[in-house]
Amino acid sequence: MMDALAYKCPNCGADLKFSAEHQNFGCDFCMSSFSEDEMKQIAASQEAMSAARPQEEPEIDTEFEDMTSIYHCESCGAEIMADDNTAATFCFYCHNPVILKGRVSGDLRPSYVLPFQVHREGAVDHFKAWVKKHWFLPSDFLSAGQQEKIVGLYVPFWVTDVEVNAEMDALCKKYRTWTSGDYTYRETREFAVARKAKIMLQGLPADGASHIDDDLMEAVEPFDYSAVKPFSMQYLSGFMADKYDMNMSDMFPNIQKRAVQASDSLVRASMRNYDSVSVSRADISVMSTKWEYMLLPVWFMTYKYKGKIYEFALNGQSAKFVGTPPLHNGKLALFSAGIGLLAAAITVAVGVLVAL
Amino acid sequence: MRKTWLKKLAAAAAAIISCMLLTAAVSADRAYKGAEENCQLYDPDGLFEAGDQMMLSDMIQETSDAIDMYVAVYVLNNDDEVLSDYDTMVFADDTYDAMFNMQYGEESDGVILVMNMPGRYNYLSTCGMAQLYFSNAEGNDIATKITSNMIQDMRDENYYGAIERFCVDLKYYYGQGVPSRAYTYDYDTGLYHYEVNGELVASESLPLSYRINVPFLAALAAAIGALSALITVLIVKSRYNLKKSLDPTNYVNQRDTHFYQQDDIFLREHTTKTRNSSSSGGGGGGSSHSSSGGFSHGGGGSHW
Repeated sequence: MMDALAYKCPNCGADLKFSAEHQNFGCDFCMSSFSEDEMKQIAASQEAMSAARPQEEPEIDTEFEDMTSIYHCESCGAEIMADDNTAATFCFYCHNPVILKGRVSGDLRPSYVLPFQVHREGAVDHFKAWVKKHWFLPSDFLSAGQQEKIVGLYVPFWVTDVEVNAEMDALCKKYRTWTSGDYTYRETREFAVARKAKIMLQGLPADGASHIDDDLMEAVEPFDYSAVKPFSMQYLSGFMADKYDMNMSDMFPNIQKRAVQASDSLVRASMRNYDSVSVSRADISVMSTKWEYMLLPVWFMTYKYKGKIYEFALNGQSAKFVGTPPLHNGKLALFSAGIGLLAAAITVAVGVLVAL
Repeated sequence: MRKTWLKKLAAAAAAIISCMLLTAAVSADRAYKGAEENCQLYDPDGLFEAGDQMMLSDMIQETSDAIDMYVAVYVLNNDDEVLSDYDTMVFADDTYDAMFNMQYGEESDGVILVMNMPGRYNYLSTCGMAQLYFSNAEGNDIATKITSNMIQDMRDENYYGAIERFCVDLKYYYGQGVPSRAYTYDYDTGLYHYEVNGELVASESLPLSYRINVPFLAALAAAIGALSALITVLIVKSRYNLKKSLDPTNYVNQRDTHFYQQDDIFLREHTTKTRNSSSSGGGGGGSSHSSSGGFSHGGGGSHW
């Protein structure tokens, strides 16, 4: 049985959850609230009590032993299965938050966590505002049913500092054109341009969960790392969390690609004052990396429309909303036809006016 | 002095024609029926032999019947009297008026070709509906095309063949009909001439349908409308795609980033020059002018 944690209110015994709105820990039952320091004391004492309890032998289900674990909910006693990557979740019976200790300890312990700063209601409000800007969504997109499907998840990220060495040689040209009499003159000046740079990238993120769409996570960037806290399990209370299943070596190609792309852009930008740039040699290589494992906050929503799943994500810190919305083709066709008719009418009107 | 000479020449031509009309029956309702016998070859200087003259006159008459317009050909072949291009035009207009307009006091539909042999210049003068059928509009100068087609025969001294070709071209272009939205503008009177139900109408302004190429405007509006609709669809679809990921250059630490080599070495310089081409606009209707008789004429000519 996986060791599960649930932090209890010292006043009434109900479950404590992290509040993104107030940036503290609160009890929904007796409305008590606790600061970060107070929460550390509560967590320390409760974890000590949990460690003192005799450990049960783990139940191994041979069919699912590589993919799932069974945990015991401390609130209601239910036995629930969680997949291999879940680090924090909710009990499906009593809906209380549960943290799976073993998934965030040892090698799997994150260095930092960026606490949620957008609470659930705020996420819903941003979602509604985003929907209002998109005229061609299906009419039932903004239903209460959709709001229920918003989930706050701490996504496991590898955040990397990268040192890159970039060298580039190019043939660059500057043009000058003028007219004199019946002739147009064009002067071309050619330069041999060389650039060598040491480029430092800081905080380049890559999500370490294979089941989460990388493009979606890149779109939801950036995160402000100045708000990160040293990892503590209490921040996970009230949200879901995943552990990484892609380690540093798995993520390196992704990090390398983005670092090289950034370095290439930076070096080319240094040649922006030329009218024409033709690169003859480019040698960009990653010299060193420094990795941190962090949990970063993201609100997720999925929507099913005409048999297709649409995923959306909201940055749990900046409230940046991204995703591929479903498109109501009928609305778009009508609108486009209207624009086309208007353009045609304006063309006819202009043609008649010019002729007159 | 030249104008006096021209008037004399035109008067002489008119006299010839008047004699021929003495016995002709005149129809009051259509001028054409009264002057049809003037549709023939006039060769006072004897370029052609008598037999060829008759055959050419028959050909010209047949052409006139075919195109339902007056047609005449006048050959000037006196080396002592060389007309300029302008004078050829004036002579053509006045001679046509004398032949086909004067006696009725109104414009008729027809053409006269003046072959100015000493000046090596053929000029086609048009009147009435012929101004539209054989328009001289920029971009579609049929009058000049007809005279240009005669150049090779004229150079080969195949004058009979040249008039034959002239008659064939008249029938061909008549068969093509009046070009769409064809009109002519008389610079002397300031009037526009255009077709309404087969008749030539003179007006101070063009109707809207002539000023606007309706099929073209409709096609242009449809194309712009379709393009606008397509652009709208593409813009909306691009907004409904996942936003691009953050530019990774946002993660560059500018403070710790250094360029340790920045060389910009000048290699060479060269300059090219191109001549500017001038473009001339085109399009629009034909042009006409008023003859000394006050009738509106169009036309065009070619040297050989």
